[in-house]
Amino acid sequence: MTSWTERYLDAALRGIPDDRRADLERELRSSITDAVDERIAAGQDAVTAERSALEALGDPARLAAEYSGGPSYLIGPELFPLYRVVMPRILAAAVLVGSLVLAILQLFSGGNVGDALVTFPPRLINLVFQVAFWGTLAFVVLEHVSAARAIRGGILSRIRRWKVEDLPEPRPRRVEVREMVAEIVAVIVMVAGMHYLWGLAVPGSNGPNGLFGGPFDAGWVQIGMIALVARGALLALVLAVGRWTMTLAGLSALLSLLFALPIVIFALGGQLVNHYYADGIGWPDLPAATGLPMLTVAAGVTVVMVWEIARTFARAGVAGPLRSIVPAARPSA
Amino acid sequence: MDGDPLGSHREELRRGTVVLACLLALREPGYGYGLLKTLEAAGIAVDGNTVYPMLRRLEDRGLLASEWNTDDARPRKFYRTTPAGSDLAALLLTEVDDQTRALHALNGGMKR
Repeated sequence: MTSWTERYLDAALRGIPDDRRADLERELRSSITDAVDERIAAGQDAVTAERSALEALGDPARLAAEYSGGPSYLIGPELFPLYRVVMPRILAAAVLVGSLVLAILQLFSGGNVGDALVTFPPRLINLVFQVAFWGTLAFVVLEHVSAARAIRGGILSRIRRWKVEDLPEPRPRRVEVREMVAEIVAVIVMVAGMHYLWGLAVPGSNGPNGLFGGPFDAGWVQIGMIALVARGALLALVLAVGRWTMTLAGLSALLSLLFALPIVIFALGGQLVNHYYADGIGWPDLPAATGLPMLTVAAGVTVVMVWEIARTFARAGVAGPLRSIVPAARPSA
Repeated sequence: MDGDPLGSHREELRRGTVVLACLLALREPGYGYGLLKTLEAAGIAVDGNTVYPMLRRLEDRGLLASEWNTDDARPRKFYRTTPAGSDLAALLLTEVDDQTRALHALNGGMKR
């Protein structure tokens, strides 16, 4: 077996360029031997002396880092504050843009929405991991690659030139995490429910399946589900940003409208519910435009939608009018 | 270090003075382990894993010069403080003295 000293030297000088290595090894070996000899002279046996001398010298990995002169950290204290500011925002933007792009792609590819809902979360998770990895790698390159030193210096000098104007406005009320999580869960439940109703089997009939009928069934239900998913992603973004802004509230309102308005319109037009389904369950009047069920649906959805939008804007208003996430990210740019 | 309130603070204070201690001690040529013992005897406790790489860095910056001594049974790399190293040591020593004086003045001022 190779002696501890040999193994230690190998570990401590790993990664040292060959032209420096021989000299370093010779010196370190003599330093270790000096330490061992002194311990033996003090009455220790050779094995104990070698062990205690090496342990006094400590982890060879640390020594290796010191010798190679490189920093023993991934992202140093100068860049780390920037990293902490930038990464959450990049991730939030990626989630928002990514889910919209995925939703739009799905809309135009005309694929099965059920499949899309299954593939959506893993794709989004994959995106988050990709962005986190490449973003972190970019910082590591800035930190460690000498070719990137000029860029790093430029970024750091810009950050350091701090002015009082960079001070953020007093933080508005932060969103309640529990509240936001509950809303996101509600959105997921709604998507699942809508998808279930969409594919509902029609009892005793050879007509088209599903609770929904006509043009609503042919396209608007997909758009509604995509709007819901996008709104879920938006809520996740709000959770990440920590507060509502007017921009986010506006987007949320648009998505709510996109989901709710078709339901109201088709309900009042008598086209929301599949006639075959209504016949199948023995309630042929269910889809009727002037019937109580559809009026209830239209009124209920309208009330919830208006309440939802008003509440969102109220929270954004408390958060300071017309503040978008972009100026919030400015000190890091 | 646990339970020792002095520990990390003392280490921080010492970290800044190890370079100065090496530059001062090596006005007399010395080798790695011998330097450790010299510093220890002078009341400056440092570890080999701090001092050995530091010797290399100081040499790279021209503050130390080195030479292998193969006369003895065991070849050793001897370091010696260069004129540039001596100049820096003098400046650093003045700086430490100034700081010490300032701290004592502050201490005296507090007492009164």
